[in-house]
Amino acid sequence: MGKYDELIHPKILSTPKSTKKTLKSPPGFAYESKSTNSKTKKSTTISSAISDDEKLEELKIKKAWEVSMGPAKSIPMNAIMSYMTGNSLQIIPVTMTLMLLWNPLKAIFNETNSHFVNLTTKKNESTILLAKLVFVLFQVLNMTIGVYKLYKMGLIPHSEADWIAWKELKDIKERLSYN
Amino acid sequence: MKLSLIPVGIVLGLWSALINAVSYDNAFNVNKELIHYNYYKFSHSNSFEVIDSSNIIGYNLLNQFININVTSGDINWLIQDTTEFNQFVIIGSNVYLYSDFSHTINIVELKTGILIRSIEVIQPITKVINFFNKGLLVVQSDGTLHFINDRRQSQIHLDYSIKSEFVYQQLNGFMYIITYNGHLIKLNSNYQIVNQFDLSANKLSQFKDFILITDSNQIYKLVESGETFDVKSISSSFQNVKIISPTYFYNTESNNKVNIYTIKNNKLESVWDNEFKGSEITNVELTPFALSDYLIVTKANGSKQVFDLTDLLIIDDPYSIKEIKVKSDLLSIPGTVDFIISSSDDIPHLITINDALDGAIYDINDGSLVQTIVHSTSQFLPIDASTVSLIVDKPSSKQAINQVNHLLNEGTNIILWNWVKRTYRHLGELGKYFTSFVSSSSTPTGSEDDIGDLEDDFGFVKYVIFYDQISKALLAINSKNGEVEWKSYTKDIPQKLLQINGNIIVVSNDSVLELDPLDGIVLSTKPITGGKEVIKVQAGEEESYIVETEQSFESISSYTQDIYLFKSNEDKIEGHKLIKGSTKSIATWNFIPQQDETIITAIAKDVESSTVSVGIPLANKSILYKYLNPNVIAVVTKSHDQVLKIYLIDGITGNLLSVFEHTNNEIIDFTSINIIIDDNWVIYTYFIKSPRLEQRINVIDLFDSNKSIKKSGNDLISSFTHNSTINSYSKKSFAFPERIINLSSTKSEYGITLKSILVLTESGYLMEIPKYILNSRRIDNRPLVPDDYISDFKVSPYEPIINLNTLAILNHKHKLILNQNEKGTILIKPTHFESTSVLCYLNKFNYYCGLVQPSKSFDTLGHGFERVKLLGTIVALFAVYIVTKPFVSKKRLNDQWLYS
Repeated sequence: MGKYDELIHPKILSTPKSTKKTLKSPPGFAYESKSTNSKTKKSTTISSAISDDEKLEELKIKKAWEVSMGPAKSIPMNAIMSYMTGNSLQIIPVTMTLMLLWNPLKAIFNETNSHFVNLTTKKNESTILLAKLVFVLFQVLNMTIGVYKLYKMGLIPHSEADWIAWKELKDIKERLSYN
Repeated sequence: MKLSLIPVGIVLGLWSALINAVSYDNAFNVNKELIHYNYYKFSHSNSFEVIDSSNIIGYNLLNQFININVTSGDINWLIQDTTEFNQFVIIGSNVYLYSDFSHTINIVELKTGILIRSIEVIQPITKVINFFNKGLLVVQSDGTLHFINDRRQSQIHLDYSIKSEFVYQQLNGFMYIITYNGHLIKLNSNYQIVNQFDLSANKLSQFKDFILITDSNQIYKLVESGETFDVKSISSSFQNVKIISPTYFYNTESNNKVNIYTIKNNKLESVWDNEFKGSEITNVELTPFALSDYLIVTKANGSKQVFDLTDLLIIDDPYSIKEIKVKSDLLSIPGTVDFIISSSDDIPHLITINDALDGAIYDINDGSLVQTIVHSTSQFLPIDASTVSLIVDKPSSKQAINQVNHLLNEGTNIILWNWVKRTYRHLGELGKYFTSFVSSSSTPTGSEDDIGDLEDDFGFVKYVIFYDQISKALLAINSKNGEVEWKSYTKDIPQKLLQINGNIIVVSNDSVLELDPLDGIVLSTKPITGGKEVIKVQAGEEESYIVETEQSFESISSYTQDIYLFKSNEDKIEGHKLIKGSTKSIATWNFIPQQDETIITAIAKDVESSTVSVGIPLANKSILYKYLNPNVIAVVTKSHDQVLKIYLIDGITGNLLSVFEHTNNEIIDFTSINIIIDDNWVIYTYFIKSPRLEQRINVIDLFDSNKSIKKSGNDLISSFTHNSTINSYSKKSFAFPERIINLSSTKSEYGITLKSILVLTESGYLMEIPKYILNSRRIDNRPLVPDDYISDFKVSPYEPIINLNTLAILNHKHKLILNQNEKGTILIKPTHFESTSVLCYLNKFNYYCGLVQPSKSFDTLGHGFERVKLLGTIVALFAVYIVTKPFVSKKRLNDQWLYS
């Protein structure tokens, strides 16, 4: 018996006979029992349970996509902020840029599974995987902003000027003696 | 509990590191400069005069007019290049410099040495006389008299001429001048001739207090009655009589007796005599001082006796003559001159001093010695400082090597481990520092000494070695405190000094000496024959020297590898190779400039110079590689039509790499050329005489492609197979506001620090110009764009004039004395701190030592370091940590309770 079974598979009780007044269903509860017939009542309970699962499935997928799209929302903000802070090498822009690199990495490794674990069911596994990939992709995009910013700051060694300190001259065998 | 010891250890480690750092800072900055001025000695014993105990003025042998503090030996002021003067007279607070062959009189303030005025007279000067302390009476070579009134700055020409020798005296407001043949002129203080008279006496040699003495010892008394004068003869049979007063005279008899005479019955009679036993008398001199008169007798052994004649002249009693025995027997200084001066507490002092400023001061009341003066030992006269000079690291004594051995072996590749070891050592030193406080309640001098010893390990102390003409010995001077570390007497005058394998090689005409740099002891002597120059060579790890002969180079022993050298003269440069196994070189290549050109100089890159960076990163992230061929020779030539040319030659192959030619639009003073090669540049300075007078600095930066960059791990190439062409170059010319006398560049231990160019200007400034100022890549034809600023270090737009930046003058308040003929030498030796090098300048007038930091003090603490603040912060944080520790643990315990 799961902790939330009562919530996932709710028992719908019939209206008590003693009261004539019928209780209104709570908002968002689409199904309304109209018949008091026990047979139909039973069948409708089953069918409603099926449609509940489907709806839940739908909802979960919707939620999963929402979660996977989450990092995309911060892309424009990060891009604008990176642009605004300029390419000067100061402590705040550098920390910000490093955060831009670090946070997506952290998210990819820590959040990808934990965010989707409750949305996964047997049926939607493939969709969730896709959503996870999209999530990772957007995190990588965020990171790309950071990498680009680092590049713009000149902190990414990528050309010979960046490893000039390790360059050495060829040793000339002959040496002129003077003085 | 154990964990809390770690922060405590770190804090203490940092603290002790700071204590050390602070001490180094003090050690380096308080006394980081040293200046010593030479005055050598006065030109002769009459060329100087003592004014008081802090002023002695006169001409010295270095053509200077100097004012020296007698007691301390410091120069108060000096005037350079006084070749046109050789006489002086002091009037009031001014000194008048003149000579008997020039037309000029310079008036100089006695206190400061400032030239007040220069006066030109029509004829060359014969004699200058102080005229009533208000002006000068100048006797010109044609005999005419000329008055110069200093206060009114006027000149009065007197229509009278004296064509012979004369004697003169100022008395009762009049000046009496008597010519050799007896013509007397009386002048008043308003420059007017009051009276003229022909005396019957002539051939006069002395005139004082109306007493005249002739060449033939005839004594006359001059009597003035109204408009006329008369001379009365006083009979005397004594020789060489000198006047004390109108009634008293003295002379010396047979070199051991001094007599005093008086006039009785118109006849000279002896009233007093004194016979001196032992050494004979060399000089007797009457020296008036204030209201007293002293007779100073000097004997051949240097001892002195002073007779106070003051009472005799007043009460006429010969027994009142006081004899003062000056206790000078211990000092026998030859050639002294005596002066009586008043001391600071108004006691008359006898100062006896010679031209080299050795002597003594005595109290004239009791003859006791007040002070001995020995300044001659502080005087050095370096011979030809440009070649016979050397700067070496202070050699460590064996004891010191043992003491610091653990420091030298401390470094390993693991940085953290080094830090732990250093912290450990600092903690130990901190402990010692505190225990030194406890053990000796007096000043902790011991620890200072330790730090002083430690400091030497960083190479801040160098020895400057040169040949001193005065003591005829090689001297090693400590660059930090100026003390003579050792003296080594050599038989011959050295021609060149070298340092080979740590020892000092002294090259003279026919021998090569090897000296120990620690104490100057001669280790070996080897003769050389037919050598005109000795050159240091490095074969592998081993250093040795090679003798340059007329035709080739010869070595004592053969080498295991080929040695390359070059010779140069006016007509050609010749490359030589000493093939391994042989002892005589063969000529390999030669360079003969065009027919009408003569070679002025040829230099190669300094072997000790090192560079780390192989190129300049540009804005587009590519590299502009430096041309760093170590074998480049720069040859400066001058053509018939006065055109300057610079050839760059590869010293191994003889390949001509580049030629830079000037135009003949400018006329260059070829004697003013200085050139240096370092890093990837050639810098030369020259003075142009036309179209305007201007000092120029030209910079040529040489660049390479990546052909010289190592591709694989062990890339050993030969100059003969390697393409050594210069890929590109840039050049710029700069103007400098002052004439440059000498040029050099800085060196550092690893070549990471920026290079600065050192220029020595005519007015004695040693100025540091950073290479980024003298950068040929500064842009002159367009405004700078942001990329330009990234493409080089400290980029600024091209400006043709380099300012005389007072902040860049290394010798700031210590002015260096030099002239065109005495260029001196700039000596540079890196310390073990990458940022700092020791810089010394040496010529015969002075030597200077200081530090130079082209990239500022990036690895030493500067003055502005807030050590108190830092220490305070550490202490405060530590205190907070200690105080809050119990609170924190209490809080943690409380948190364990659910309801508190």
